[in-house]
Amino acid sequence: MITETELMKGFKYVGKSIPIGDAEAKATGTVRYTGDMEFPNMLYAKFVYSPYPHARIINIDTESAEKVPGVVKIYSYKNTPKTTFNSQVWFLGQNAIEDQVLFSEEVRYAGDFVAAVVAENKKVAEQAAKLIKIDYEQLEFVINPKKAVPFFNVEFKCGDIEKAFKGDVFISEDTVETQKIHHAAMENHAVISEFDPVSNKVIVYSPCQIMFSVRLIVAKVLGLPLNKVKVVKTVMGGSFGGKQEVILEPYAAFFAMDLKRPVKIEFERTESIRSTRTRTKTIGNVKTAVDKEGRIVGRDIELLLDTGAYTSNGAVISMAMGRKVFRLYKIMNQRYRASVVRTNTPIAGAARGYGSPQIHAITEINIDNTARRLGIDPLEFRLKNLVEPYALDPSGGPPLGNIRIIDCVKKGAEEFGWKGKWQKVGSGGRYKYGVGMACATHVNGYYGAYQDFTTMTLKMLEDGTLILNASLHDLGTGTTTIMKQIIAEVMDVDIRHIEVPEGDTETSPYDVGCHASRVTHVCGACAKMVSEKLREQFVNECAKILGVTPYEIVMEDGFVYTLQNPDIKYSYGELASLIQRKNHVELIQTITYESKDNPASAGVNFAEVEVDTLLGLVKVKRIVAVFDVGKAINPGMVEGQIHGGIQMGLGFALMEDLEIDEKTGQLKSDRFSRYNMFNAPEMPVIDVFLIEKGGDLGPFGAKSIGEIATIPTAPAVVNAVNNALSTYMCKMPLKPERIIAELKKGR
Amino acid sequence: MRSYEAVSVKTEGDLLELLKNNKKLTYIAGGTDFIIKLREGKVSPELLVDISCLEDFRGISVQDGFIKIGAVTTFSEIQNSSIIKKYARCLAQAAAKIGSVQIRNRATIGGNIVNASPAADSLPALGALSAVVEVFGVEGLRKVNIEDFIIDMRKTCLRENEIVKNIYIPCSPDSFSSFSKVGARKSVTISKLNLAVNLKYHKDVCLEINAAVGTLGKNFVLLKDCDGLINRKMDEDFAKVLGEKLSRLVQYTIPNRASMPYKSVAIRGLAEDVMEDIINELSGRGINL
Repeated sequence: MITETELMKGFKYVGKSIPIGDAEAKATGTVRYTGDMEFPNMLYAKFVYSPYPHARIINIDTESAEKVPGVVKIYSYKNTPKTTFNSQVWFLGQNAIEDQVLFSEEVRYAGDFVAAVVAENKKVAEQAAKLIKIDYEQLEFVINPKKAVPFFNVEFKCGDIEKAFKGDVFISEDTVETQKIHHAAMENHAVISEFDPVSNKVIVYSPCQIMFSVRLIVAKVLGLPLNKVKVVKTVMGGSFGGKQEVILEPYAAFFAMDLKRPVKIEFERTESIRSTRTRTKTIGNVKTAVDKEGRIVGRDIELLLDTGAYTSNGAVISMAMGRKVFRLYKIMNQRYRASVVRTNTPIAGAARGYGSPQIHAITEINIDNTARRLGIDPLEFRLKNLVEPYALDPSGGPPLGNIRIIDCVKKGAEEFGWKGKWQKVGSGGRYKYGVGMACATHVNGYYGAYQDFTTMTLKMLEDGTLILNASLHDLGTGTTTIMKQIIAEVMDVDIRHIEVPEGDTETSPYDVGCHASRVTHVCGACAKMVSEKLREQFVNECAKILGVTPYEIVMEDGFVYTLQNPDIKYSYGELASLIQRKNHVELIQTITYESKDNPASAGVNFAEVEVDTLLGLVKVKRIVAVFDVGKAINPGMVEGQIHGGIQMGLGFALMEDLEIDEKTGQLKSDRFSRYNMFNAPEMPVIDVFLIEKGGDLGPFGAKSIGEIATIPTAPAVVNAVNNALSTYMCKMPLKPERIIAELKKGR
Repeated sequence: MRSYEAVSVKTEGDLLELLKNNKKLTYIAGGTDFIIKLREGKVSPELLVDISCLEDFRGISVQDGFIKIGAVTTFSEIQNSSIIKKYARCLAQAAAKIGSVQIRNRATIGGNIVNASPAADSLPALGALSAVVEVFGVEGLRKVNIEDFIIDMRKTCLRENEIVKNIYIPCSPDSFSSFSKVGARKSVTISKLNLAVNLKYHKDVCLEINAAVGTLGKNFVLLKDCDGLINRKMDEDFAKVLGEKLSRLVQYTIPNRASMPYKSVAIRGLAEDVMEDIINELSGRGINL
């Protein structure tokens, strides 16, 4: 564990804003994404999608499609495996409802996979796909989650809420609704698979988040042992959870194995929006009981989650959401209940924050509304109730560690100038001005919920350079750069001498994957530990060569010298080569690191908005964001994550919406001209501040930022709009039409 | 996608030659709408004629009291033209709000008119300016008022093989116009509602007003009831009265549409924006309001 005092001393490589390793290659178009990759003899697959939200396929007529020159084979439920699977399963033995097959006779949402044409080129595949004739028998469908039957229920609690609600308390209730949204990574979903006839092995090239999950599901569907599936993580053009689940890989792998030729599947935007995964839609009812002193004495939360057409992560995410509510405020009596339903809508899945943006929207909008109903400042109300460092989770989750949410809130309030800005808004002109805030907490890995460990091998080559072998997935966030900074710090060598490839499932050791905000905290700690081991080995071997004790060896800036002769310096390479020749030893270390903590990352957003009461448009003028990240390994990247998280949160609050027509089951916003996001001119001024106090087991004290960065934004903005208009709007997004309708009600 | 032939024409003469061939022609200039339709298989051209290099159909000039805009003039050219900014300001403003910079560098005014989208930004501006469309065909030229040019949802009065050549806008030194729109966000957005107002003034008094609202149906809708606006001082109240009238126009035009409650309020906002812009600009010209 690293203490605050140690952090103050500073570092050589850690804490420096070194640019992301492949940033230049990406900016100049040098990087080859999966969509750019071409294999000799490669085929292309194009899907046919269900036009109906729920239907049975009576017949598929592929005759005219098959006649198109260049068509190789057409796949449907008639000629594909019936193996069921769940696309979010990431480890063998995970309990999950398996209700997906490659192709089913029954399609469950408009956009479901009906058939696929594999052809010599993309154009032919597209052309033939249009010629497939399908007869459907339309079936009843459910779009509104309130009309669906739950398939999973969960309850977490602490204390005695009945008793808490019976006391002399004020009860404040809200029902908040959050919508389905699209992840909108710049890179659409793409995959290539090939079959190696020599080793009888299927190889999958995928920009994925969990290569071992891809291996697991592909092996299951294809009926292969795990060692006959090799998954290579390719360069990723953004994921945000959208590429966490295994979606296209089993199709490409099956086609490639069947046809013994490489097969590429590359989605277009409408396909990515409609037929991959979405953020889970939720409807949450919150009742908060507050005593005379403004302390929250009890809270009761009831949630409905809409996981879409297939189970996916419906059950897992309902539990992940429930765990967050016990880790931000000192609420000793609390109950969380959730029911999960399936509807005939696009499939929900992992999405940056894994339910955290939704549960925090629900609870943080209620916190502001409660403060306003009580006539107290939401800042003071929060400060009175927020958790203190090293608090325990009353529901039995892992300890919160050095959570610095109070520091974040105080710093943010000061920088934002909250005291002068929050007030009761009076009547005025057309433009109304308001401020709002929201807090958030998030995890650092799976400790306390699932196994969380990783294995890494670090070796020093005979010229002194280093290679890390690990199953890393850089989602574009700079993961490999972070690892280099950590190794550089321990080995005291410039990061230019360190190579950190992303690995594959065949030659790299096991890792849980890039999810649960675990990579910097857990994998980073492993990288630090394996570097320390290698450093120790190197020092010992150097001592033998130089005829001194290990205690007399000094490593500095890529050079080694002894305390006796500080003027005689050897480069790491000179000694590594001597160690090979004289000691007959390879400088290599492999360790498995198991995470032993799951401290809470925390943060706050303060938002300033101006609402046009005639056009219903919200102009977000400024966001002040403060996050407790333990220690920023790379502050530039942390700030970048926060800017991006805010952009995503603003869209979630105000404009992004995968709205499904309840009568037809059709998705209205299936392209970017209809699915508007926050673009550059729309962005507010953003001020970022970091709280760095270490205190937990991450490398140099680091905690997560990637997911939490997007969590507080939407509730902060919704609270600001409600503050501006003196309303209690709880249905997201706050589109102009909704704002105008709400104002009309008041008139 | 079927295969098709494509040619590029440089002069009106080249085009006339093609017209005499009796083939069905499909025209492409900027292609910002057309290429999408082509890729989606919604159009299947027989002979595709690229007119983007047709110099006779390009450019902005003033002739006999009219501004003449060639059909293949891009929105970037229109947005930056000093002639348009001076005599047809609302069209320059509408042009500047269409799509993105990249779209405006390619998209042409002729294409926008012919595409006849109910959400087109150039159409209400042209409507408020009483523009006239000049159509070129094998039988020569004919002129159509912009309100009559669009006859139905995404349909124009163009006959087979006819093409828009020029747009004429009367220029009057005592007229002034402004455009405003609202979409999901401020830029790169499709209009949910748009408004162009063109008025003739003397000092601070409105003598004539022409207001056109887009997105309410197949074509823009002109405000006919201008009672109480003519010979009235252009102050804050003027904007309120205009807003009220336009709000009623929205309610009458789309009484049963789900978007009516929103649009009937938002149009007041657009009326305020447009009038504020006009008043600010007129004060800048030394007219005291």
